[in-house]
Amino acid sequence: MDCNIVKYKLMDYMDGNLDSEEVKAIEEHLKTCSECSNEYAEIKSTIDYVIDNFSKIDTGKELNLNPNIMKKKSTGLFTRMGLIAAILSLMLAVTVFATDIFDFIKWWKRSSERQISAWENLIENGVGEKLNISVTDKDIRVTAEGIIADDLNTIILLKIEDLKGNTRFTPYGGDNSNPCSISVSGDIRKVFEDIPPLVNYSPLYAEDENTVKLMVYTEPLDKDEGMVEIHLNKLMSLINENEESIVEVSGNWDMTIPAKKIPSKVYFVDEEIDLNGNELVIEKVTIAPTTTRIHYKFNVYNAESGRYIENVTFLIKAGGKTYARSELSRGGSMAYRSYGFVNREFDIQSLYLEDPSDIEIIVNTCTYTMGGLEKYNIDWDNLPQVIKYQNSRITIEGIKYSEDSTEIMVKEDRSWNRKYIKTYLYLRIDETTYIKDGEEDVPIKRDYYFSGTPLEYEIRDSKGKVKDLESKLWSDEYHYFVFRQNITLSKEQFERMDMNKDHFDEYLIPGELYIEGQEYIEYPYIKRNIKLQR
Amino acid sequence: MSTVNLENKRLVNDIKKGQLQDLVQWIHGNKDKLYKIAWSYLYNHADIEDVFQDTLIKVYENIDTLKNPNYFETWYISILINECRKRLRHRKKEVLQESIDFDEHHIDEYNFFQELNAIDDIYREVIVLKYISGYSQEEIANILDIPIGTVKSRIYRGIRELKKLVKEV
Repeated sequence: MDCNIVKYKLMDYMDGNLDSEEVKAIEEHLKTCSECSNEYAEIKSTIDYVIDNFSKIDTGKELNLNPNIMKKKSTGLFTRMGLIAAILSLMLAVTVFATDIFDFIKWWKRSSERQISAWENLIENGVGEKLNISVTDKDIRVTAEGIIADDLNTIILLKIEDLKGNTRFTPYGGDNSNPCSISVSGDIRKVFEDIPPLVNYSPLYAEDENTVKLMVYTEPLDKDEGMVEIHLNKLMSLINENEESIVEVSGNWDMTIPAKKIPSKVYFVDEEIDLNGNELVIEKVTIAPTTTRIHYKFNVYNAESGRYIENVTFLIKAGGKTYARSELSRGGSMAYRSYGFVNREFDIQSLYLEDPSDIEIIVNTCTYTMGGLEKYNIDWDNLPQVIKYQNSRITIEGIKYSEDSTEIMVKEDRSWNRKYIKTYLYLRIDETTYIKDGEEDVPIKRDYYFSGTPLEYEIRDSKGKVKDLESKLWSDEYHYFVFRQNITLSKEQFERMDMNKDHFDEYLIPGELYIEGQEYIEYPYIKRNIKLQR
Repeated sequence: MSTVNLENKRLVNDIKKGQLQDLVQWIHGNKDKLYKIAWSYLYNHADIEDVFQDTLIKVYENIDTLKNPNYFETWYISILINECRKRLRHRKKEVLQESIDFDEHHIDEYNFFQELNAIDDIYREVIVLKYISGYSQEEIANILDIPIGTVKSRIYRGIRELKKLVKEV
């Protein structure tokens, strides 16, 4: 073997990327050629040197990252789950402005009632602790009214009262540079050593105009009995005339609360369900005071039907009553994963007081995606342009073009029996730039994707009936059917993504529209009777 | 539809929903690897922390541009590197030298990083990605968006450059 070839292949040799014959040839050569074997030894020792030195880097330092950066992104974008989460939690950093106050209060009151009554039902039946611990600072009194701690959650109910004025205060939700103003510590389980326990909260309606009830959710206790410390250092007005009238008050409303963990009951179920070809297994049911948790897993992709399951929701029937998604707990976000199957959790309203021995678990809804990637040439001169994707008609209605931005408007079928919920649309820009690699210029290829934002949609239930969220609270059977989306390209966006300025003008004239999959919903309503035995 | 790595798919979906806690966890889970990459550019904990935070935002803002969740990790690292480079551009060399903490074994480290720093960026980053973070040549090609042949030649040239410097010491 020639020395140059050997040198060229040395890296691959060290990486074990060569086949046995080449390895043999190189080893033979190294035995006989001192130049190459020196080269090999030096490279090897250099690599060892690099590895050795890098191992000295102290990577154990704490990395404080703030995941609460929600404010950055415009709220125009929604994903279905995001919306459900937002509606359930009443949005972390919510500020409500005058224009929507009336509807907001109406809706807020109704949704708060659900949470408050679930809470009171437990407290009145002796589950959890009633408390009356309060701290006053800056003429605002914060009172801990109660705590319910179990194996799945720790939930604290606070009352925030403006003693001198008439403002409804809520914690400050945090932004890029400032963390959320409420946090907990003490005997609370941490998911990771160096990040504080997760905290979530929802402001709840109270009759008095100076009062907000605040439900604070966090991780379970890490021991059977302990102390929970609540830190609260900034409050802001919840309802405001406009952006300028937001009132912020900094202060110190820290308090320490004793807590006792209420044991839950765990039942192993192991029930297999055929979800139109995808396997779904209900593994466990945990009955805790704050929620009934269904632990389940499913086979995500089914090659035969081409379905890719996104999400499953459940109901439970027991003693003639139907229990839906929990108002006090939100399982699932911490789910662990496995290959082929995903493990998830779904939280249902509490069955703790009823403590049934027979329940009926119902697979309520299932959303899935179907359809592969298709590319369509945009016919700029002949709009509107009708595109056929799967069995649906998608229309490029028009294009708004200006010097700085382009907006592509896409219209979809509005019929009441339309099968899919949403089409995934995007534009793609490929960019090649060159960077110097020694003497040669090497091309660097990047691709950028711009997805559709829903503009017009309708909320429909399982029967295809249109629902109005102002008069109804969210239910798992509701879904947003998107009729109109637009995709915006703008120079401002390009700049933010560090794209090549020389091409901005041509990027504003996209040639192709990409469609990759459509989301569907079905209502399997598969029922399983389950005996709860330990 | 091609099969995708489910863990990544979920992570990407969570990010799209704005649930960045999972991303933070993912970062912590891969901290050793990621931290070293950032360190090789910045040598300073405070800056590294800032860059991780900036990357968090960048990832969230641009998550829609990532089409195949299988490439999440390489995509993430390419953003991280981009943010590191950006920060470097804003930083003067003098400041850099002052900000390194000197205690006994830091002196060694410092010499080493001066060496590593002396070789061209484009060589240094492939060396770090390959030998420190353990990515394959293909993954590096993805992260840096360069052909695999270039990755190969850069690793080789970089090691040779470094070899020269190490020899001098």
